[in-house]
Amino acid sequence: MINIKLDDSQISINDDCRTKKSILQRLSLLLSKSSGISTDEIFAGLYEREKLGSTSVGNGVAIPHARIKGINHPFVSVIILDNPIDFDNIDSLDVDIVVCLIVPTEETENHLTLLACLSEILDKISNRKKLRSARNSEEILNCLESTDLIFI
Amino acid sequence: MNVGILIITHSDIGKQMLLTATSVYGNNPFRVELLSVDNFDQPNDVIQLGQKYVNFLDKGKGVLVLTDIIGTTPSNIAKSIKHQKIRVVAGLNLSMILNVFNYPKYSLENLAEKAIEGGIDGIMNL
Repeated sequence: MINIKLDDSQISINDDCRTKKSILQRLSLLLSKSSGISTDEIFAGLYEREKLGSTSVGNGVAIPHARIKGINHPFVSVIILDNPIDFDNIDSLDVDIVVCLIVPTEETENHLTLLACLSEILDKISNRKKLRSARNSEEILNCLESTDLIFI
Repeated sequence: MNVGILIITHSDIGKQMLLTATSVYGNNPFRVELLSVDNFDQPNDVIQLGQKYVNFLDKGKGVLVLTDIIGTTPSNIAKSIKHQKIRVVAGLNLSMILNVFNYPKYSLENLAEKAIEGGIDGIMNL
């Protein structure tokens, strides 16, 4: 079980971001407020990772992620877009579900476990449908519930 | 979905090669993760991480593991990862990565051949 921070302030529904960069900026802003880490630092981490290759995992989903110094536990942020955007996706489906993860630098193993866990949840078409039709943060949180995660 | 790629190298040479290849090619058409191995890492711990990366990367088409020099810790780790659909190619160079980028729709077997072909073709007298 991994403790992970996700609350209302880290979720944006009906988002109107139009570019990959603006998504990364929005995620950095959402995560900065709850983690206390500067938006610039989070953005740099996420951007650096995207330069290596897209974090799109297919089916309209992307999981941008970065390791960040100075946080005590992992944080997640979720953006559901009204209009799918080009995320350098690995398939033909543009991205409208973005689940972003920042993990303390030293927690390599947790980082991977979380990536695998989120990817497994988002692989299920039923969960993607629920996320796309979610009207509030509570519905998003319900979708991401897993036996491996404890939301704090 | 494409084959996933895991690059296992000494320190961060894999990262630098991937960054350079992505910049030269214009984009990276694969899901790629990096695993860097340093002197102070315990091989068994890294094998477990590699195992997790491979499970995460495989979306049904398997995972191509690219590693630097044969016979050293990164390549030994790569060889120790157990997975149904995995191919490990050593001798990583930029030409290898770029050739792989050309064939995003290839099967794991064919992609591994392209990796070897690209790697060898990049070595010549000028």
